[in-house]
Amino acid sequence: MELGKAGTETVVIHSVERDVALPVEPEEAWEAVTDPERLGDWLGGDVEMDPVPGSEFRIRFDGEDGDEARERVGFLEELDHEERRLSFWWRRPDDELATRVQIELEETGEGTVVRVIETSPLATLDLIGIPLPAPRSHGPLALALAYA
Amino acid sequence: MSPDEPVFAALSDATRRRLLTRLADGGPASATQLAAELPISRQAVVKHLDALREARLVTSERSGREVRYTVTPEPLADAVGWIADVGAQWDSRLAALQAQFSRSQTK
Repeated sequence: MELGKAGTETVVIHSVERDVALPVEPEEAWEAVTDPERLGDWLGGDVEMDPVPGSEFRIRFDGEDGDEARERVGFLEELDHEERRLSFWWRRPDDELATRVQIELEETGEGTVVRVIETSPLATLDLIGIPLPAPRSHGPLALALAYA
Repeated sequence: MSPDEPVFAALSDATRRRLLTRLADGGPASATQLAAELPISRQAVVKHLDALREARLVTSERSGREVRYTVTPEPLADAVGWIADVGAQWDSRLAALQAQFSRSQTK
């Protein structure tokens, strides 16, 4: 969770970061992240995606729990084979706002670290420099919770 | 003064936001633990935790010889819930990614 500024008001925004170390070269890890079939295998769903930035994709989760047994739609923002960085926006079909996911690879002595950062819409707007909406009379916390 | 005022005052400080972030993301911790993890003295940590507790953003509970602090479900419930849900989803996905490689690899 991070907190950002909207004008002079403070708003609660948040992001989640996770990583995993793989005992393989970056090329191999990159393939597991960008090949739709292998991506689907570890995301736990069926990925329909053209590996082209700007294209839309759809993931159907096979998940057992109610929350994941749904689909996500989104679009691929960035697919940088040189930097080995991938970012996309996704949402459940009935969600109004998408969250942004960035996946990046880092070569280490023993292999490759895959790092995932998912940011909530409010945090995302702040990150890419779009001014946050001005809090109304409810105050910044209510605003943040409305977006959470 | 609105009833939310102490909350905003508590959130206006960068160190306190950092402590809250740590507690929300990493789970309950003692002041000693927080001081060890962050570049903040234990004395300062205690002072900031007091401010957060007064704003009802954290609660404290004695556990053996130490006092452990936890983020209060309200008013940060939605944010904390989001972090916990999304974090748990990525934990399991990344575990599946790791499994792709341990299947095809002998250690």
